[in-house]
Amino acid sequence: MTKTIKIILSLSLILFFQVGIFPHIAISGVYPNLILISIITLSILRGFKQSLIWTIIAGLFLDFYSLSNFFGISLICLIVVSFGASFAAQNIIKKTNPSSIILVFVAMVTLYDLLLLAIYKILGIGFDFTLLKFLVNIIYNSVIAAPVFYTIKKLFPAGKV
Amino acid sequence: MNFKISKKYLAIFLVLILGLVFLNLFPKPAKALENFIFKVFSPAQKLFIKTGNKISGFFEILLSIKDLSRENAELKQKNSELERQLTQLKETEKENEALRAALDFSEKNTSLFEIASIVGKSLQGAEDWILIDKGTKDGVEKNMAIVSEEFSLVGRVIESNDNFSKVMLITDKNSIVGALIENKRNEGLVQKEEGSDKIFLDFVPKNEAVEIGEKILTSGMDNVYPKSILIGKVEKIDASENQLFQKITILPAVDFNKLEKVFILKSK
Repeated sequence: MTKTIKIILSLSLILFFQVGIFPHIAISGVYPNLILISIITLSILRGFKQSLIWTIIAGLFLDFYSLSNFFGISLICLIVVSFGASFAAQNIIKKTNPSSIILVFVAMVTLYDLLLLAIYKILGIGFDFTLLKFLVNIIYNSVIAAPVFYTIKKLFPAGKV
Repeated sequence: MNFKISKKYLAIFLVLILGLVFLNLFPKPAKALENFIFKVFSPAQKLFIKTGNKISGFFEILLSIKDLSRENAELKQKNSELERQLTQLKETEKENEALRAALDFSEKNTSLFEIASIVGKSLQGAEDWILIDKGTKDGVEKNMAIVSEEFSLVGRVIESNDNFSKVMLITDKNSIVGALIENKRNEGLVQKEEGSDKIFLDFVPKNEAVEIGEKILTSGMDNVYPKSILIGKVEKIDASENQLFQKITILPAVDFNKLEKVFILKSK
């Protein structure tokens, strides 16, 4: 129970930053998705199963804060991305190598955007997609990912939460 | 890596899938939960939005210091221009009154304004919407127009809970606003420009002379937004030969990042 409360409080704080601060640092209308970055970080650091509860709560947050009429789109995308990140971290890359970590972020942010785009297209929901925004989104999130990754690694060492 | 799914995780996924199917088929519980989450989070979010605006404002002041003298000269020039316009307006009061009667939306179309605070924003850049702290319990309904404190167009209510409403901004990809150019009265549609953050006025014929700085107002033709609300000013005009209509880029009158309070226009 304490663990779930800790998770909800941490994600709430991330959500508040995302809502209040991040829109002010937008580039071409794109600002980093701190929730997505945090979930990728946790998935890299402790694997898919250990970060599943975080992923579900974060996905629900993203869905509540969405205009889409279909509930659960972000949650599904986030679960797939979390699985991909933990798979890459445990089978493909070395967790101690910063450039490998960045590569996982680039790949997973791309995957998340493509999944969202595909689901929105299938469901016929309007989605503001341009190549420029897509690229800015990947680069911007990956740049922000480095400090977030090492902060989370320091604040929440594996096994603590 | 061991991806063998245990019974526990299989149960979690099953509950999750069934839960999502249930919430999409019967959205009421999801709406109630959403309303509860917004209620719990709105005070802190309001605080973070205010803090974000203050920090951003501080940095903007720092960055604009070197431009202050130039801005001052521009403002002085603008001031004298406004004074000249004011004198002209006084002289043509009769004409002006007739024009006002034609433009005035406040008495004809709407009677009630309700102030609301912004307590949330879109989390993912692909959507442009804000969350306000007024919902169905306050009489807020879908498609009600939202304006800024300066009475410029912000957007329309797209979804309402008991205590909160989501407002689609005019900068969202799915937003369409019936609009006209203030002086020329040419009508068109205001939409988001593909591949940028700007909005533009479409369907204005190429032979119509439009000037930079002209005001764009709502036309009321979309049956959603009341007539004569300021949307913004003409920033750029593109009348390339390969287009049928002019593409008029608009600088919105509202700085959407700095909004803290808005008015809901409740129709009669």
